[in-house]
Amino acid sequence: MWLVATVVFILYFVTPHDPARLIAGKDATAQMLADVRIRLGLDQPIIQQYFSYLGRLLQGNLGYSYFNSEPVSTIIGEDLPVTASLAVGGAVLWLVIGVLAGVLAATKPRSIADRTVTGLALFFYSMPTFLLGELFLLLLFFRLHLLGFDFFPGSGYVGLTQSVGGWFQHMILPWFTLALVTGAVYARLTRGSMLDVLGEDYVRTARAKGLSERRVVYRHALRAAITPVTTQFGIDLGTLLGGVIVTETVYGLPGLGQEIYNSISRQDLPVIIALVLLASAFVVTANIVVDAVYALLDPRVRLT
Amino acid sequence: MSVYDEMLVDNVPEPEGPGADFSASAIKARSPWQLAFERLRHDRVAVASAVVIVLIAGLAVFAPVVAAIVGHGPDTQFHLTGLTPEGIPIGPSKHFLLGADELGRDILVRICYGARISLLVGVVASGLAVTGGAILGMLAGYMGRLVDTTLARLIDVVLAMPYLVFAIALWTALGGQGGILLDVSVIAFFSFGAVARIVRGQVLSIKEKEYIEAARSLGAGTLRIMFVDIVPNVLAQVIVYFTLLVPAAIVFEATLAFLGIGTTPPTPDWGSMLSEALNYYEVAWWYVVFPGLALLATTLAFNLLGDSVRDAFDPRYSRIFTKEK
Repeated sequence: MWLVATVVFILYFVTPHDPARLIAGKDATAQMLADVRIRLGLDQPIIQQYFSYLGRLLQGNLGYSYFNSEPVSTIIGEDLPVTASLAVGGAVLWLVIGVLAGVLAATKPRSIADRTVTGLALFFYSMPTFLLGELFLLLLFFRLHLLGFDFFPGSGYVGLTQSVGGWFQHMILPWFTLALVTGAVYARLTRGSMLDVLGEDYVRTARAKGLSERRVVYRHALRAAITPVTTQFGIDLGTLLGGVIVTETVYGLPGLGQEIYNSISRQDLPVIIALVLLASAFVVTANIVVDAVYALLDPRVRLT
Repeated sequence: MSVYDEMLVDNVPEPEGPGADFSASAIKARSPWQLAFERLRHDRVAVASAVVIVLIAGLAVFAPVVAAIVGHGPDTQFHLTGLTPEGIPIGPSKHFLLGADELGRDILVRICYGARISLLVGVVASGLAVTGGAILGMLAGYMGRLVDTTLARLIDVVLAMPYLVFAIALWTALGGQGGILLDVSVIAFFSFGAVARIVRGQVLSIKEKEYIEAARSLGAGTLRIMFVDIVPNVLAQVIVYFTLLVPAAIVFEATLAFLGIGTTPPTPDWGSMLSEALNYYEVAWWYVVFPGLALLATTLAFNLLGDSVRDAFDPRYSRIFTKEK
C-alpha cells in the first residue's frame, strides 16, 4: 500500500505539468499562481511534500481536493455507495450466474443445455464490457422506451435509502453488464472443474449411498469444484474495479470510477492517490477474505 | 513399404482424439506440430474462425482500397452528404454503406482503418507479453530459489493491481502522450504474469525429467538445457496462450480507447468510435452496432480459434482457465 502511494506520487511529479495553473485558471497572474502554490504546499521541495503527505496519510487525513477543496474523505463518502452497490451486486450476480450455468452444463455434458451455456459463455467472454453496456442501452432502454415500455432507466442513480425500487431499477442493467462478461469465464471454469470432480470416486460413493442427485451435485461435488473458482475470484478483483469504471462511464453513474477518471483529467493529486490507495486496499482485503473462504471450502487448506 | 505396413495404414482411423499419438507413430513419425496442424485443419470451427480473422486482417491491410472504392477518406467529414440538414448522421445508404458518424465520416471506412489498430495492438502486445512471460517463467522455474521467489512476488503484485486505474494514471502522468505505444506496453505489462506462471509450472516439472538429467550428464550447460531441451516442450502451451491473449488484448485496447486513453480522436479506432457512439445511440443505432459487430466478430473469432488450437495440441486438455495453486 505504501509502495503504491509512493509510486503514484513519484509518477505524478516526474511528469511536466502545473496543477496550480490548472486551478487558478487561464488568466491568472503570476501572483495568483504563487498564492495557490503556497496554499497547496506546492512551493516546498518535493521530498518535504512527500513526507508531509505521508504523515497526514498515517493520521487518516486523506487531504483536500486541489479542484474544489473538498475533503477527499467527503468525496469518497459520497461516491462509495454507488460503487459499492454496483460492485457487490455485480459480483454476486456474476458468481451466481457463472457457477449455476457451469454446474448445469457439467451435469449434462454434451446436452443442449451444455452447448447453449458453452456457446453463450464464449459469446459474452468475447464481449467488451462497454459494448455490452451500449447494446443494453440501445436495445433494452431505448428500443423498449420507443415501444412505450419504460422499465429500464437509461442512466443515473437513485440512493437505496431514497427508494429501494428505484435503486433496483437503476442498478439492474449495470449489474448485468458487469456480471455477464465475467460470469462467462466462471461458467467455463466451473464446468471444467465440475466435470473433473464428478468423475471422482467419492462422488460415485455418494451416489451409491442413495443420496439424491441434487445433494450429490450441490453438497459433495460443487464444494470441491468451487475451489479453483474462488482462486480465480481473488485474481479477478482488479478486473472488477476496471469493469466498475467502464460500467459507471456507460451508465453515467456518479461513483468512484467516474471520480477517478475525472480527477485524473483534472490532475487532482490527493484524490488520485486516495482512490488508487482505496482500490489497492480493496484488492488486498478482498484477497484475504477469499483466502479465508478458500480454507472454509476446502478442509485440506489450512490458514497459517 | 511392406504389405504389413499398408494394411496398417488402411486400418488406421483418422488421427483424432487421444488415440492419435499411437496410430500416428504406427505409420510414420509425425511431430506433435504436424499432428496438431492436422487436427486443426479438420476442425470446422477453427477453419471458419481463421477465415474471419483473415477477412478482418484483409480489411485492415486494404483499408485505403476500401476508402478509394467508396470515395470517402477515413477522416474526411461530409457535412452535406453525411449529415441531415438538422446535423443528424445519416443511416446506412447507397453512399454510406454502414452509415455516417456525428461529423459525417464514413463508418465503414473508419471500421477498416480501426481494424489496423486493434489487430496491431492485439498481436504485438500479446507477442511481447508471451515472450517476456515465457522467459521470466523459465528463469523462475529453472533457477528456483531467490529468482523464483522474487518473480513470484512480482507477478502477484502485477496481477493484483487494478490495471485500468494504473493505465489511466500512467496516461495522465505522460500528459496524454504515448498513443499506441502506451497501449502496447500497458497491455503487455499486465498480461505477462499469467504466462510466466504457466511456463514456470511446466518448467518445474520438466526439469526433473530424465532427459534433462541425461543432457546435463552429457555436459550441456544451463543455456543449452533451457533453450534446446526445455523450450520446445513449453512452446505449445505458449502458443495456445498467445492465441487466447490476442482477443483479450484487443478488448483491453478498445476499453482504453473507450475511456479516451491511447489513440487520440481523429484516429479511427473501434473503442473510441464506440465511445462517441454512446452520445448518439438514440439517433444513430448503426454507430453502435457496426463498430460493435466488428469488434465482437474479431474477438469471438480469436477466442474460437484459440480454443481449437488448445484442443489440437492436447485433446485432453480443456481447462486453460483453471489455475491451480
